[in-house]
Amino acid sequence: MWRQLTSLCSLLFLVACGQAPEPEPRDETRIRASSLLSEESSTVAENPFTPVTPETVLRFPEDHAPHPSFRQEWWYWTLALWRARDGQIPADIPAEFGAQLVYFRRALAPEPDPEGWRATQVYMTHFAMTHVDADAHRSTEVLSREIPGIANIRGEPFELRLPGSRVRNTGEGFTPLAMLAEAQGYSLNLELRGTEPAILQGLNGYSAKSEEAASHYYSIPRLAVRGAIEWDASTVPVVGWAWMDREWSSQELPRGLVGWDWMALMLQDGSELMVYQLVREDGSRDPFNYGVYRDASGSIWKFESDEFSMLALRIVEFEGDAYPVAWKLTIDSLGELFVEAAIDDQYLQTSVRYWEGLVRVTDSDGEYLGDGYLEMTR
Amino acid sequence: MLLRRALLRELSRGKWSLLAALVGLSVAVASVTAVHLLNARVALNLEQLQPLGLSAHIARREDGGAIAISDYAALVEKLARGGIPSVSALVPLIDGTLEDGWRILGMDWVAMRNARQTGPSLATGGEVEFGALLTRLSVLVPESSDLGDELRLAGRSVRILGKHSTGDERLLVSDIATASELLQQDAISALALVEAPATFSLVDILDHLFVGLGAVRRSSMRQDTLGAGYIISSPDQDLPVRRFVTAIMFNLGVLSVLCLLVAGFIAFQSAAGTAQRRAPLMGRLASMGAHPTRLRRLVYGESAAIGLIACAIGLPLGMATSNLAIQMRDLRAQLDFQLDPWLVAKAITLGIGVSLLGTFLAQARSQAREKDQHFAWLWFLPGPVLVVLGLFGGLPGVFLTLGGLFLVFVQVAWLMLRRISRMPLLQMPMRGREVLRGASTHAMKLFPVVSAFILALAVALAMQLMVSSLKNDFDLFLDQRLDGELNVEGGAGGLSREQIHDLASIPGVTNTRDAQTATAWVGPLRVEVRLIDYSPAGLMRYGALPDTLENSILINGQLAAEQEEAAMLHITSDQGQLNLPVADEFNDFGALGPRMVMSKQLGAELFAHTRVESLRLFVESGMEDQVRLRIEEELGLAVRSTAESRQGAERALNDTFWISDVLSLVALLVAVFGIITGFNQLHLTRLREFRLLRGLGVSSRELLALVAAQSGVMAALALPFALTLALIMAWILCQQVNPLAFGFSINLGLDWRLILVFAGIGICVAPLASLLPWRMTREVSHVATTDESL
Repeated sequence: MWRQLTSLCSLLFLVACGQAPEPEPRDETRIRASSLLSEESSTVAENPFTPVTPETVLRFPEDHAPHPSFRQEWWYWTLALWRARDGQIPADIPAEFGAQLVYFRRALAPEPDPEGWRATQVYMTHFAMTHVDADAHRSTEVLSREIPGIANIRGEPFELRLPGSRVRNTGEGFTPLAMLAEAQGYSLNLELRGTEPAILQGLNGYSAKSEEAASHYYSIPRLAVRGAIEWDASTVPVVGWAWMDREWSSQELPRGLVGWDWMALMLQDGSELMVYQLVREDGSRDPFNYGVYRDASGSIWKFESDEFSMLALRIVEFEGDAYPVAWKLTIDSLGELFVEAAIDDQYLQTSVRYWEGLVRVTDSDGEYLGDGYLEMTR
Repeated sequence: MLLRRALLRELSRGKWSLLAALVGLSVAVASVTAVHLLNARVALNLEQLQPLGLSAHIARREDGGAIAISDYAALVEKLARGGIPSVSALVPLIDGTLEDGWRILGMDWVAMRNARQTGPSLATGGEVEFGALLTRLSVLVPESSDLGDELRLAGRSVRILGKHSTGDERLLVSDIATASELLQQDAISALALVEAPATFSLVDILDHLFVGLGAVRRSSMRQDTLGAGYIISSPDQDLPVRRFVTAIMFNLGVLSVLCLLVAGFIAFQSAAGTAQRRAPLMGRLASMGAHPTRLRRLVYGESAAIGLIACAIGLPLGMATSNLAIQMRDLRAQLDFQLDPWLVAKAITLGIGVSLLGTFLAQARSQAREKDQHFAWLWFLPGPVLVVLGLFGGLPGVFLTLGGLFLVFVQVAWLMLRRISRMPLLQMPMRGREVLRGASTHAMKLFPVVSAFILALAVALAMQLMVSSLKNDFDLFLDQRLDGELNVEGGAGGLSREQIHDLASIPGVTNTRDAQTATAWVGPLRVEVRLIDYSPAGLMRYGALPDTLENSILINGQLAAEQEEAAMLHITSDQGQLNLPVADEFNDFGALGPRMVMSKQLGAELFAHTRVESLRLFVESGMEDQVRLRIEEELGLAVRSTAESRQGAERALNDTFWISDVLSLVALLVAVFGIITGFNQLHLTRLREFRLLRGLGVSSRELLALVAAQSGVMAALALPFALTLALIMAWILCQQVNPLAFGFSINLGLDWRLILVFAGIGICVAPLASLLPWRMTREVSHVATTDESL
C-alpha cells in the first residue's frame, strides 16, 4: 500500500529534494506522515528511478524479491492470532492477538549497490503486537543501511533481515515462511503457509493513486499461521491468519492528501476484503479509492471509489489527531459491515506515528463475522 | 553473698542455657569483628586504585585491530538480542584527515535514527535533517567558512548542505557513506554507544571510571577518542574513583549493618533467654526476702560478665576468621591482629550492651505480662508507622522503611503462626499433638523464634542477592570491554600551558585536545564549569546538538534542581557576569555538586584563568612508543597502558567481590546461628514440658522427632515471609538506597538457585535446634521434671 511508502519517505526524507518537514519542537522523535504531503510530486521526467508502468507484468517468484531500481517498496504482514487450543482456529471467538511486521526499503540512489558504507539501500522495520485481553499494544522501529549480517533483503532464497527480525523462506515455493521478530517485552516465532493465490491489485498489479502516481501492488491473503508468541516472558502457542501486502514504486504521493484509511479483513466464511480511501485535505472523495473482495470460491470483485463508502462511527484522538476506531463499511454489491478496533489504543509509537491495529468485523446485528487490520494515517 | 551464690549455682545448673547464651553472644561479636576487618581490607584495596582518565568508547578490537563492519554487525546482533543492556543504538563513525587538510567525521545517520526513538535528541546537523545528509557526497562545513555550495575534496565534487558550529575550523561533518567514500576507508574509527533512557546503573559508573574496561554509558554518545590517542590527566581526576570507592564501601557498610543487626539479635535472644529462664528463681528469692533492687543488680552484673566473656572469645575469633579468609585468598597478605578503638567499641557495645539490654527487656516483659493487656494492639503500630514515615525521608527514610517492613512481616507471620499452631498441623499421635498444643499455649514464645528466623534468613539472602547483583553488573561490564586503548596519566597539580605546549610539540603528536575547568557562581551557589571543545564528539558526550552550546550552557541535574529549572542563569566569575540560556540538562553522577558545561569560546568571556585537567594527544600511527618515552623522560609524566589500568582495576575489584563473598558467607553463618539460637531459646523455655512428656513415657527418639518436626513446620511457615522480606530488602538496597545515595542503581538479579538454597537452609537448620532439648532430656529425671525453675 501507498501508505507505508509515505511513512518511509517522510522518515527518511526526500533525499533528492533535500527538503525537511516542519520541525516538531515538542517531540523531535515524531514525524507526521502527512508532513510529506506538502512536497512536490516527482515527475517521471526528473525521477532517476525506474518508473511504474501499466505494461509491466508481475512474475512470481521473481517479484517477491526486492526491486532495487525502484525508489521504495515494502513487505507487509498483518496477522490475526488465536491461542492454539486444539490447533484449530475457533469459529466464534474473535482474534485474541494481533501482530504487524513490515519491512520498508528505500533507495538513496538509483545506481547499483556499492559495498560497505556506500550501500544505497536503507531499510526499516515496524514490528507491533496487540494483546486484546491485556488491552495492550506495543510497537518498535528499527532502521539500518544494507549491511551484510545486519540488514539485507534478498530474493533467492527469499530472506528479509534486520536487527530484531527475520523472515525467510523454508520450502520450495514462496511459502512456508519462517517469521521471527523480537522486541522488548514481546516477540513472535511463526510459520506462514500460503493457502490462496496472490491478488493483483488494480489493473494486473498496476495500482493508480493519482493521475501521475502509481505503484505495483499485490496481496497474498489468508496465509495460515502457526507458532508461538511471547508477551512479557509468557509464551503462547498460536494459530491464525496473515495478510501480506507487497508494493513498490518510484514516485511520491500526490499533493492534497492528509492521510488514508485502509483495512484488510478476513471473514469466517472464507472470504476476504480490502479497501482503502485516500483522505483529501479539502474533504472531497478521492476518485482513486479502491477495494477488492474475494469470496470463498476464489471469485474476485474490485470496487471503484463510488461503489463503496466508509463511515466513521467512533473516534479517538492521539497527539491531537482524530482516528476513527469504529466504521460502517457499505459496499454496493455486498451490503454493510461493521468494523471496530479490538482495542482503541493501537497507535504506533514509532518515529512515523499512525494508527494500525487488529479489528473485528460484525454485521448489523452485532454477530461476529471475522477479523482484520485497519490502518489510518493523518 | 548468699544471694550471689544462689544465683551462680542456678546459672551453673543450667549449663546448656548458659552455653547457648555464651555461644550466641560470642558468635555475634566474632561476626561483627570479622565484618569490620574485612571491610577495612576492602577499603584498603580500593584506595590503592590508580586514578584513571575518563574515557570509554569502542575504538579498537580487543586484539588491537580496527573495528570492521563484521564486528559492528556482531555487536548489532548482540544489541538486538538484548545483550548490551543500557544501550539503545550503536553508531559507527569514520574519522580521518583528507589530503587537503580537512578532517572529516562521518556518522551513520541511519543508525542514529534508531537512537532517537527512545534516547535524547542527538546531533542531526542542526537545521539540516539527516535525510538530506544521506545524500551521497554532501557535508556540513564550519560555520565561519565561506565555501559556497560545493567543495572539491579528494578530487571529488562535494555538495555543502549546511554549516556546523563546532568551532573546529578544519572539520567537516557528514554521513558515514560520504566519509567512507572520500577517505576510501570502510574500517570504523569508533563506535558511539547511545544510551537507553533510564537512570544510571552501576555499569555506567564502572564504565565511566575505568578506562578501557567497558563501553556503556547512558545519556551520552561515546566517541571521545577517535583513533589512537593518549589521555593525560591530573591527579584531580581520581575524584570519581574515590566516589566509587565510597559507593562500594557504602554498600559493604550496609551489609555490615545488616550483619550487625542479626548478630545483635542473636545476642539479645541469648541474653533475654537466660534472664527469662531465671525469672522464677528471682521470684522465689524475692519471696524469701531478698531485696528486688539488689537482685536486679546481681543479675545485671552477671549479664555484663557474660557479655565480657563473649567479647573475649568473639574478638579473637572474628580476627582469626578474617585473617583466615584473607590468607585463603592471598597467602602473602599480611596478618592483621591490630585492634582499632572503633572495633573494640563495637564489640563491647554488642557483647555487654546487648547482654544488659536483653536482661532488661526480659524483666520488663515479664512485668508487663502481669499488667492490663488492653493496649496490646499498640504493639502492632510501630511497623506501619515506620513504613509510612520512611516514605517521606529520603535515604534515612529507606532504612526506616526497611525496619518497619521487618516489624510488619514478623508481626504478621507471628499472628498467622499463632493461629496455625493451634490447629492439628500434623497427623501425629496424641502425644505429638500435645506437644504442638503445648507450643501454642506459649504463643508469645513464638515471636522471638519467628522474628529470628525471618530476620536472619532475610538479611542473609538479601545480602547474597545484593552481592550477586553487584557482581552481575560487574561481569556484564567486563563482558562488554572491547578496546585496547592506551592512556597516559600523570601531571601533578594539573597541566601548565608550558607543559601543554611541550606535549603538543613532541614529534608524532598530530593534535591535542584539552579539557578545562573553572569556577563560577550562580547567585550564592559555587558551580564547577567544564569548558569543552566545541566538537561533535565533545558535545555528544553530553547528548547535545552541535549548535547547542553556541550561546548557551548545559547544566547537570543538581544545578537544575537548585535553580528550579530556570531557562536563564545569571553567572558570575572572576572576570565578569553573563546571562546565559540553559540549552539542556545532562546526566551526572550527582555527587559532584552543581556543574555546567559551556564552550571554550563562551568561557573566554567569563574566565581569565582556567585549569587544564586533562589533555588528549592524537599520535601518528607507530609513534606511540617514542611519544610515550618522551613524555615519561622529558616531562616526568607517568604513562600507563589501558591494559595495565584495566588489570589494576580488575584485581582490586575482584578482591573486593571475593571479600564481599566472604562477608556474605559470614552473614549466612550468622543466619544459621541466629535460627538455631532462636529455636533453642524456645525449646529451652519448654524444657519442663519436654521432661514431663519424657516422664509420661514419650521416648527420647519420639521427642526428638516431634520437636524437629515442629521446628521444621514453623520454619516452613515462616519461610515465605522471610523470602518475601529478603526480596523486598534486596530491591530496596539495589534500586532505592543506591540511587538515593549515589545516583546509580544496581540491577537486581534474582538468582533462583540462591533463593532455593536459602529456603533449604532455612528449613533444614531449624530442626537441628531440636538436638539441644533431645540431649537435655535423654535421661529421665523425676526431680528435673517437677523442678519449677526449669
